[in-house]
Amino acid sequence: MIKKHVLLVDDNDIDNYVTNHIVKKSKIAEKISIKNSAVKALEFLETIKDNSEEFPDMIFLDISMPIMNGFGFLDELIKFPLVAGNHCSVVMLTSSSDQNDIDRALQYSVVKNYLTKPLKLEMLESLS
Amino acid sequence: MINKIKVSIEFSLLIFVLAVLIAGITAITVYDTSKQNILFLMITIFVFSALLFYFLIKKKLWIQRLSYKDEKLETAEQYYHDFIAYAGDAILILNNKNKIVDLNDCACNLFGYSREELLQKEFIELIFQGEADALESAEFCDQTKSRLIYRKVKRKDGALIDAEITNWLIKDNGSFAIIRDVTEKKSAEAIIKESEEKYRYLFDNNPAHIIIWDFETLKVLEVNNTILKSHGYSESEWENMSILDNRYEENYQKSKDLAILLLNSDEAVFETRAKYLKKNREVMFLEVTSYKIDYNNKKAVLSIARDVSEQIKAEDKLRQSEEKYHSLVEHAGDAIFVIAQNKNIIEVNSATCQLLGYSREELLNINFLDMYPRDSSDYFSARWDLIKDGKNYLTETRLQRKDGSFVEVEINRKQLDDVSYLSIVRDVSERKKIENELVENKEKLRLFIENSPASLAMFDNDMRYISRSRSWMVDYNLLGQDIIGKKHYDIFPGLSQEWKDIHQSCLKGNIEQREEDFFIRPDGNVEWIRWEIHPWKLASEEIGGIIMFVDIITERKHAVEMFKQQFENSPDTIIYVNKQLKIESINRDTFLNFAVDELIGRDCVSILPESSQSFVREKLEKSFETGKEQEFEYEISKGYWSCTRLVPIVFNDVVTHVLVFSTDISTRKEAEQKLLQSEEKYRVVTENISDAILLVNKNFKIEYLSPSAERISGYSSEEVNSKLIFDFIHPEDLEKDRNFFENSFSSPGVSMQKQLRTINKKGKAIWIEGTIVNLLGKNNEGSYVINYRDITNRKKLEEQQALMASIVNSSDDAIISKNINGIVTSWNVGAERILGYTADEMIGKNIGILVPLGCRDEEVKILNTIKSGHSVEHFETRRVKKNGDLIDVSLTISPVRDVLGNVVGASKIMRNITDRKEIEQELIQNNAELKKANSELDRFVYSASHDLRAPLKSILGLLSITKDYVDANNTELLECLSMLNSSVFKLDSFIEDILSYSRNSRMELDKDEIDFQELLDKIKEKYKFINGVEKLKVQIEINSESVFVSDFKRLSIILNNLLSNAFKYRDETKEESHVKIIFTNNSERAIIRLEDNGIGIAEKDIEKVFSMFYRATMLSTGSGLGLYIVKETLDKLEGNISVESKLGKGTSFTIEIPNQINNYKMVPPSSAEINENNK
Repeated sequence: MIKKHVLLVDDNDIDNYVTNHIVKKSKIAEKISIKNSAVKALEFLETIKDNSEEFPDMIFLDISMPIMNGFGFLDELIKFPLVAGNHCSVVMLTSSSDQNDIDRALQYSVVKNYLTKPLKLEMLESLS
Repeated sequence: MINKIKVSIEFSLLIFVLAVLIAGITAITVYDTSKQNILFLMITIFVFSALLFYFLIKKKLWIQRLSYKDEKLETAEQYYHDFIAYAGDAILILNNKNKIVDLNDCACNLFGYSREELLQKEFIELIFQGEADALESAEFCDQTKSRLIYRKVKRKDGALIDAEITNWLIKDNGSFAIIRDVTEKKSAEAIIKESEEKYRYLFDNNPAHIIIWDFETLKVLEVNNTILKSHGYSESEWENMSILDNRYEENYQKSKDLAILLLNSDEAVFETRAKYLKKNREVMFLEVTSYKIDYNNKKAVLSIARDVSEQIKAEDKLRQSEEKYHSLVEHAGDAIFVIAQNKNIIEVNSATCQLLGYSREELLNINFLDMYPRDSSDYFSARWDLIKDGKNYLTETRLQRKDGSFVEVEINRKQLDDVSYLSIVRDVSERKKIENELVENKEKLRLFIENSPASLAMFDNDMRYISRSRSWMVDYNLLGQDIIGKKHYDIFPGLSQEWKDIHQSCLKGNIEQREEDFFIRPDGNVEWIRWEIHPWKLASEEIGGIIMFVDIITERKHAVEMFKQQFENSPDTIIYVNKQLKIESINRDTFLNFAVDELIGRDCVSILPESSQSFVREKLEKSFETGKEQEFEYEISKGYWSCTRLVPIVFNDVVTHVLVFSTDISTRKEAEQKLLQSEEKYRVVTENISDAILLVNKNFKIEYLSPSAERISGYSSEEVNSKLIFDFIHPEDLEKDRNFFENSFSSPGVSMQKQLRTINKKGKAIWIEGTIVNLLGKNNEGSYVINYRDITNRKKLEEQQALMASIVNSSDDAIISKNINGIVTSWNVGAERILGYTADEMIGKNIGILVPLGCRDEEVKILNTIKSGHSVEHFETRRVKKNGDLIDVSLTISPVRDVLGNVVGASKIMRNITDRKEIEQELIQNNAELKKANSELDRFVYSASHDLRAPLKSILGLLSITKDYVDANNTELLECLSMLNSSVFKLDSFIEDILSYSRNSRMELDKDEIDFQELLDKIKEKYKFINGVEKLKVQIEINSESVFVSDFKRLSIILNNLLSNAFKYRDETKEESHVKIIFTNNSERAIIRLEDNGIGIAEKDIEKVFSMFYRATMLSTGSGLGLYIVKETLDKLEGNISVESKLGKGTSFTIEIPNQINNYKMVPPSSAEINENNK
């Protein structure tokens, strides 16, 4: 399960740092991008929306973020043609273990996994 | 043909040569004889050449023939080669010396050698050594024909194979051998042969008769030696026989049936006692078992038979003999026992069974001695020893039958052999009986006649007396006369012809009798008699005379008459009832409305009313059962009482009838009943007089205590005897009552009403109310007569009533009672206060005036509810006050009932809820706000579980990757990391605490003595390891006037948040960040002030800082919850917080918390603490 491009979206830089470290260590990604807000992430994706080589094929997404939270991000994300074309999958990575959040996230077909922080190497290994 | 050609060619060649020769000779002759030598030479050469030519010609022909032969050979050779190569058998080609020169693949397989190896070998080497000697080359060579031999051959691996070797010579060119592996065939053959032999042996020598016969033709196929011997036919004779031939003719069908049976079954068929004839016509019996078998592909039957002739003959003989004896014994008229030495019965015959009533099986289990009567068994058992001499012994005894009766027998006993006896038992009971009877009857008859209470006389054919009873002599005044042998008519000369005719009739065999008859005595008295005359018969059935029986029934007749008189004229109803309880007779024409016709034959119980039937039936049945008289009274029907006497009529010890005497006692009963009722009334009255009477003398000593008084006081008369009345007065009233009694001296004869409180035996206060009359002046023995009753309960009620009245009067609620028509009957102070009307104004008025116009319907409904007996509770409505104001009221209305439970009115409690209504309105508003707050709370809970814990998750993540960077040897750091890890977990759980705290808003407040310094130290401890903590200076000032009591945990939550805000929002542009904390408290409250020089809060945001999740800045790392929690927690502590801030200058919070010292129980310091303090 080697991903060409993995995008981390989390307002918490520490978490991004941790996630980046673990993802690197797992060697599942050839390239990792980090955006610390949903807005920035969407802007970034907009620039590469037609480039299937560059467009991330996996996104680690937090839920609780200021301005736009994870669900707002997902609503925008699924509008990207490449996402609709099944090019990309989302792994929720959040500190919430609230069942409402889990249910809501998994309603998005693009969301393939729901993980609670902190990310651990074993979790990556268990990703499908 | 070829030969012909050959000959002709040779012939022509010869002619040619001759011709050349003649030509040569002719030429020579022609030439010079001188030249004779040359000519001779030429002739010789010529002859030679001619010969050579012939030879050449001849030679040429041979070649031609050879080539023709070669072609044929080649085909044949290929043919054989293929045959050898592909033959299934091993083929070897041997030369003259038996050396192998060629072979096929099969041979390689057979011998296990390769082709090359085999080509090196001689055939002899392949033959097993033990047999090789026999295989001389001559053996092969001498033979011109192929021959077959069996030898063992040896494989390369040493294994021996049974082989069939076909071998023949190739002319002058060695031989040819085909070798076939016959190991398996050989061993199979050997087994078959062995088994065949075994079976053959078994067949031939089997002692059983064995015969195999064709299933269809019934021809005999094979027989064994036993049959040959026993039946007498030779083997060749058997071959032409069918199985029917030696069968007894009458068994032919049986044999055929057997065949059919076998045809349809695969099982063996068994035939017992089959009858066969030997050759010499002797009969033999066989037990035959037949099986269906395949014999040489034919369906056949194998019959195995056993000769049972001898056995059967012996059995028959035995049976015949046994049967003979058995039938002799069985049919013997006498009972026969065979008895063992121990007297157990071994054998009996049917007569025995009949005699004793036992079955044969039962008898065989009985000891013979047990059948003797017990009293004589010892004697007889002893006698058994006597008969050992072989002689017959005859005894008479009795034997006991199965049913317990005895039978007289004559036993003839004899010793049968050493171990058993024979007893022949003859029933002599009939004989005995007749003997006995004869003797007895004679005597009996005499005694019977002599002593008969009846007048009885026996006459012969001539009417002469044979015998007469004593009564006869008495009744006919014949005492003293000897009338035996005399003629009846001589003794009674005046006997009427009518009697004589009767006698004659009886002498002819008739029986005459008369139930009632009379004759007139010589003295003129009429004598009533009952008589009966029978003929008596001799043993020869001839009439020997007559017996006359005369019963004088004059007395009985009179008695019956009298009874009849009595019966019919009795004042009682008399009913004669038989065993079926049917009325046979009654002395009334009607009884209980039944006519006599209806009554006779009717069940006497059924005429009674149902209510008394079972009772009377029981009584009657008892009389029939016990034969005892009974008398009882019962009410036959309403008002009809009967005294009934049951008199059983006993006849021959059996109660045949019961006489029912029923006396009408209704009148008596009525009187009794009336008396009883009057008594009852009196008793009830007397017993229910509850007034007690007390007599007290002038010294106040109690002289008399009535039973009621005893009951009320609990004391008995003896106990109060000579006690003073004051002894029983309640101590509190003693002085007052003593005065009363003493004062009453002055007013003799006046009766006074007085209530006294007394103490009963149990020490309980009893109120009594009575009339006291001072009779002291009236006579010398004068005294107080105190007539009183227990009024404790009434007093209690009075007290309750008083209490109720005071409650009603002092109630804030309006308590109003009204009657069923809505007329007010009571009106309390509360009502006056709430509604403005006074009691005087309202009582007697209709309550409707209080009801506003819009509520009139309600009032009707309420009244209906009350009338139906139900209450109305907390009914909220409006009422009009006297001044016309409308007020909100809550009504609780209950029905008031009279003693009979009828609703006669209602009591109404009315509460003014106008104020409450206003509050309610406020509450509704507040509720809406609360709902909003609740939704915020929900969000809070969500955030707490999500956002609050997010940073902790970050730390945990960091910690986990930090380990990657740490040298494994750096144990200290690793330990720190793990401590850090656990610390974060602690924090996480702390957050959970907040969560539960927040959720559980009802959590009780803790009350602790607060040490501000300690509080602050604990908070500082928490921030010790936070990066940059040193950048914020914290100053503390404590001004404590008294002990401060509050919730320590909640205080630390508040300060924790405020301090962490001060740290978070410090202004880093400033030289120094600081916060100053001032605690001030007195016994009323504490004021905590925090002043920082941080970034401050913009004026527009100040209101929002305490709301949930407000984040002042995007830079904020907080959850936006800190100040909310501060506010919430303060609310719990009933405190408040205010904030002043200027952007860029700093912020100051002021907190006010009430001191809970008043609600706090001081815990005295322990002695240890005191010591500590003293130091």
